[in-house]
Amino acid sequence: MRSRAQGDLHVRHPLIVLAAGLSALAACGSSSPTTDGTIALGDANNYSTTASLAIPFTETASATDLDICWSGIVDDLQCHPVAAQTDIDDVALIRVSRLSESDVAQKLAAGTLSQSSVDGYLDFYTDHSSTCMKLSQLSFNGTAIDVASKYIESTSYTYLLLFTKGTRPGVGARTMMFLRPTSTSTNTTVAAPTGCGLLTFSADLTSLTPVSVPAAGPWVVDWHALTRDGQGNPPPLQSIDGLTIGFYAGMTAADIQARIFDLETIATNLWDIQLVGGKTADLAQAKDRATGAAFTGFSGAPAGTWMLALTCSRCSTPAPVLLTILTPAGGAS
Amino acid sequence: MKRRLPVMVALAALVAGGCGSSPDPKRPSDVVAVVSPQISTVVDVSWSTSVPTTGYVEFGPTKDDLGTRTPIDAAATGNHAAILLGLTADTPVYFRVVTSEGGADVAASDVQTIRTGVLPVGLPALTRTGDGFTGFVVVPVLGATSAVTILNANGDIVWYRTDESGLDAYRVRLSLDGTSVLYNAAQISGEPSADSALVRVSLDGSQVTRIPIPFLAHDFVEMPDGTLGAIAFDDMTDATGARVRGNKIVEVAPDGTQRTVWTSWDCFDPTTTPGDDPAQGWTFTNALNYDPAAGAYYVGMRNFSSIAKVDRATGTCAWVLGTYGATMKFAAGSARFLHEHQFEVVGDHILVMDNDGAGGDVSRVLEYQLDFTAMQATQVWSYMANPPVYTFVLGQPIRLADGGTFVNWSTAGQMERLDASGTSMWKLNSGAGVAFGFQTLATTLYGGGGSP
Repeated sequence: MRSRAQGDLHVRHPLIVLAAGLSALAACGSSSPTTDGTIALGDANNYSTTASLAIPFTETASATDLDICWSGIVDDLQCHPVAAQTDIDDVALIRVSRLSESDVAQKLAAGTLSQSSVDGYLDFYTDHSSTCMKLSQLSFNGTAIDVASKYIESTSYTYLLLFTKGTRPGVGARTMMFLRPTSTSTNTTVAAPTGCGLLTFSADLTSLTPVSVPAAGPWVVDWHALTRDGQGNPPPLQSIDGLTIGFYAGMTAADIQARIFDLETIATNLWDIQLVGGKTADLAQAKDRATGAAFTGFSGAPAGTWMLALTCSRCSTPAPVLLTILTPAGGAS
Repeated sequence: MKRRLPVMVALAALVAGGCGSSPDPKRPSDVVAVVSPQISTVVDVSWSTSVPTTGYVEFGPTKDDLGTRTPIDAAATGNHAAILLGLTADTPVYFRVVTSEGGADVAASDVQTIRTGVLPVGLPALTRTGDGFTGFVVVPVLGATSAVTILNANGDIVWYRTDESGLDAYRVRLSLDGTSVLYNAAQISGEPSADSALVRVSLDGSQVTRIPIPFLAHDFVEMPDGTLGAIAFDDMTDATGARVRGNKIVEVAPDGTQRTVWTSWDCFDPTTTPGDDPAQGWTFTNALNYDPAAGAYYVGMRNFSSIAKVDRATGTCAWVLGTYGATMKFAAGSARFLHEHQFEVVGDHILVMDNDGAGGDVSRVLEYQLDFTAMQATQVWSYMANPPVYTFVLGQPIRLADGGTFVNWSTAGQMERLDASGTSMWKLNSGAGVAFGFQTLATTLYGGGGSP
């Protein structure tokens, strides 16, 4: 693939990280294991979410190099603290064709942006010694952007600037903004907004059907029947690469829902399984995130809430694909 | 009725066999099916017969729909094997083994079932809209995920391989002998790789052979005798000692012998035909086709915005259509292509993926009629996607037997099938971050693929 032509924009994964967390809620009723012992996870068990992005914009001069700085980033989309100089590893510019800024924001929030709408991706790896760069330092595998021909005022293009943790394209965005090259503008400076407040995310956990699990194993969960993610879109089944069990001692679902961005930090225990494909998993394979100890079951836990999430580390929206509540037989929900 | 008689005889024999007489020595036994350890959508089936026979496996999604057949054994044997192809992941498949002699089925196993395995994490899910494409697309995926794939008409991955070399694949083909998949493992972004190779993978994934060819570029072809022809970068120095990066065609004979059959310098001089993007090198050859009847290659050169017909035996250019180095002119009113990628010569017509010629970062397909007497190309058709898309590199049009056209808008993550009137009937789209390399089409995954 040609990479060095001036102004070529990259085809790599050009998306963002939204926010998400894990959440849980006890509810009335529950589904039960199937007759063969498999624990089925379906749409009724899955949470529902809404997400929207209010991405700010900056008008700048068109076809002109810009000074881009991100020292103003103090927190991320989930409102967690960010150290701008050390936490931002990559600055990426995505050019989207024939979609308005509001369309782009909507599709990013929903995880439905199509490759046919993306006609370029450029990025810049920060050196962690500065929080500023030039637009012309953005590149595709080291080839700098031809600012004069590619960063131009046009009704056809929307320019999205991402500031990310990590350098995997499309993953780890801490904040974002639109750039609007405008022929009448003389502005050549861009200041990244802080992330908190850009994302509105809510999870509706009141209507899901909790999943009954036996006190003793085996606990083989099966999500073949899953047809929607939290937002109601077709789930990225081929990309699910993680399963997490969470236990929240002394907490109710309402407590957890109230801190939906903090689900991993407020959990009493988390157990993980790294998945390599498929639509089933044996919970006995899960390991304690802190100690590495094997998951031994649901017995003996104090009062609290059990949660199970299916996650996708390389998806544009890292909100769990599935999040449900487990109701152990004879134990805490 | 005559054609059915052997089947009836066979069924009668089967019934007889079930009533205590000697087992039919031609009846398949010891039927074993396993999912390929390498490719979870491929099933290996083996069976035996008491006497040497020929046979095949018929299979499908239900007991009553065994509509797909493997090729029949090439020679009579008592130990048989076949592979089931075209299957989707994590799906039951029903099959039975049939002994067939002289074109007649003479015995069969019971219908059995096996479930295919799951796809590895990260392979893309594609979205189909419309109908009208019924074959397979043999294509690399690029971007967030890099893999060699075969897609069915629904966009499901039915065959895959992820190359662990760290290189990308830009072209995939079914081998003409029907035994394997061929692809180029190369690096086109940035400096080309000295470790690039043509890779042959058996259809069941069990055998992988790499043919090292340094500095491979985008494309390669396979000839009827199994010879492979591939484009590679070729560096020379000019009078000032500066590097001039041209291209060459390297052939690999079936016995493994490699030879260079053409270089850019055979037809062009960088001082008089410089091309338009020296930062990319000189010619930046990016597409290769082969016409066995003419013994000629067709070579696309991005930096020349030109396509040349190259005589395989002599390395001479019979004609050059395009901008730099052209020996054919465009008829008045005909659009010119710019920075084209793949193309197809069909009789006296040529289809071209025009990446940049339309302007405005929109790509299109152009079709010309070629007049070799007047040495003139006349545009007769063009097509833009609706809504328009831009594939800044790669992209390939293929004319189909029914007059329709298959268009791969590579970096836009979109493929579509047009009917003969140019109306889009069917599309496959990827999510953001997934692009396609050059594709080949197949009506079947057996016997080398067939012609769509």
